[in-house]
Amino acid sequence: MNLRLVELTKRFFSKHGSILAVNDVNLEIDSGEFFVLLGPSGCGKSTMLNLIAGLEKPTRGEIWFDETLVASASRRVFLPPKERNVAMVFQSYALYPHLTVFENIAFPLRIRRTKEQLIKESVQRVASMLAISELLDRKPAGLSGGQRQRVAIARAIVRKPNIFLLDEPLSNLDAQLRASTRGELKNLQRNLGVTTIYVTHDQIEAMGLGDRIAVLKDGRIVQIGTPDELYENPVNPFVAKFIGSPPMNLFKASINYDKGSFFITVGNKKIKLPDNKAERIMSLKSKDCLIGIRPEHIYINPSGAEETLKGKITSIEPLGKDVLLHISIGENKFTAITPKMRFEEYEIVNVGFDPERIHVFEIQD
Amino acid sequence: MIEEKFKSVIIWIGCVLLVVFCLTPFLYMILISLSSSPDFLTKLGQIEFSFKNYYSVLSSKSLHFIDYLRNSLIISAASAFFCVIIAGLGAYSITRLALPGKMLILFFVLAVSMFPQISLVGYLFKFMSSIGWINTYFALIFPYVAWILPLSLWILVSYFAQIPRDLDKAALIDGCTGWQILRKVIFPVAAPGIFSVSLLSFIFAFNEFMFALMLTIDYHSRTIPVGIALFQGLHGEIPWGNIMAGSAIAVIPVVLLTIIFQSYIIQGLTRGSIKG
Ligand SMILES: Nc1ncnc2c1ncn2[C@@H]1O[C@H](COP(=O)(O)OP(=O)(O)OP(=O)(O)O)[C@@H](O)[C@H]1O
Ligand SMILES: [Mg+2]
Repeated sequence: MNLRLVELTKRFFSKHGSILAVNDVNLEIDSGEFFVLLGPSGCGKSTMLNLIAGLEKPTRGEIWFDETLVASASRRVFLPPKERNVAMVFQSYALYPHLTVFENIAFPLRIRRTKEQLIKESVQRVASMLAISELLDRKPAGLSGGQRQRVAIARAIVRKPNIFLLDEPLSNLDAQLRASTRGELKNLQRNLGVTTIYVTHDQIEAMGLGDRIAVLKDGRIVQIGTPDELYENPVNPFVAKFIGSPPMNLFKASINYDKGSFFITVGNKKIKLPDNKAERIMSLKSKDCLIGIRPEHIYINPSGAEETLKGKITSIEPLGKDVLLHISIGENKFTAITPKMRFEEYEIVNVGFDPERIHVFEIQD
Repeated sequence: MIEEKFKSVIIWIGCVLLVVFCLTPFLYMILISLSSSPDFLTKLGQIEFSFKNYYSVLSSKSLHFIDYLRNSLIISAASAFFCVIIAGLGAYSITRLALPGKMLILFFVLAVSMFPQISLVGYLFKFMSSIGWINTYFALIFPYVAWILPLSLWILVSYFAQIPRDLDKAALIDGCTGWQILRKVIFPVAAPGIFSVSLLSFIFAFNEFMFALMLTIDYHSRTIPVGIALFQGLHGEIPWGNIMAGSAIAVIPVVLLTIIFQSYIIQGLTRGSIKG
């Protein structure tokens, strides 16, 4: 099912004024797509899911499922969740504590008065799909976090929903379980082919799962794109910092024009920016700008002919195969990831940039 | 180690004292009821055991003990039932709806419940007479429900408020209507609260004396506490044996209910529902 959000806005009113939790969001999600909403805590991710599910009414704007208008503030249309047939996995799992695992999974079918025989088959099918067949007689209280999470997913997929909504379903799992479940979830979604919206504040999860990602900030969409697009071409420093780990190095610089090329000055060295950045640079409002370079695109003691700067290592963090170096060049501090070698603190090293990998951003306040 | 032992000894002594203190009158009641020549302060050594008091209470037509017992059970059960339904609906709306000033409603309800019973009974009598309900079950059920409702509402509000809102949302997504959420999720999850309220209302209605004394006339609607109290009027002297035997029998339903429900009441509420 194809999902379209048009100028979707949600304003919450409270004693202390009002909050724009979702602000003028326009979005189209294709049928069968795995779409990720990524953003920091409080940026309105859960609110957006609730709007789509029909748990909240939009203040403004419209929501379309294929050609069906399911919510519109101006036309006073609002279909309750029951009629939208969406399935949701909650941030908190929200299992029914008084029911066994079997009855938890069967619950949506029972409400729809499905035949007993069919209920039994469906529950057993999803239970074996999620490897929880042995747990069917237990109550949620007797399950581990990972098992509860599987039950919550099973309850969501036991009927064929139009849209599958997942609100940070992995946030309560330990790192190992999270990684393995991530893979399973992706496979599951591929097999079911159901349009999926996945909310997370973890960029690694977003990059690993999403066909496309929307980065949110303060209720607005900052950028939509495939994981690669967001990584290669972030539109602003917020996205640049949010995507990638460790985050991109950002520093202020001023751009100079000299003999047909653009230059920035780092330390006391001039670095030529590639010509294909010219258009971008011309569009800047001032010559002062933010320059970004990812830690993995900084080379330490490079062997080639690249221009290098002198930098001092201020601290060293081993990451197994690689090592994360904190380096200061003049005023500026950088992080760099480089294959493991012997480094000493306060050692002076040659630092090379790949100019092609440099990002140029407008300075924001 | 010694400190631990000391602590547990203290706790034991406390428990034993408490139990002895509470149960002595009860045991005394049972003893007297089993005595063949009962008197108010019989010396324990002089008791000759017999079941004749029980026999007379249960078989004597003029005492109407069986009628009182039946009235009491019906009235108490009905009061508990209506109380749970009404308090349940009230608590659901107070905890789940965006009502302005819900705390005000709660405190108003609590304030109303603080009138002493005696201040209402005169008016209640007039009211019940005028609508012709004196000496019917309804004459007692209505005031009992009204009387126990504020406490029930407060108890259920505190239980319902503990149930995470995500459960409501999950039920909505799974296709429930508002009624179904209440019936299939909220009530069962809050079962300990529901049982507590049922039990409390039942016990209150079962033990209540003043309303029952004023609003009933004879065995058609009179309840056990009043019935037992009026045993004496029938015979001139105070029939201690019958009174004690009647009281002992009257305790049975309440004790049974408590034993049946207590395991539900102490169960955890939402264990395992949400993460953490
Ligand atoms: N029912 C509500 N009433 C008032 N304000 C609300 C309500 N629900 C959410 N908000 C506010 O709207 C904003 C967005 O909340 P939301 O729960 O959507 O954030 P989120 O992105 O899901 O955050 P998290 O990652 O912490 O779950 C927050 O500022 C929050 O305080
Ligand atoms: Mg959230």
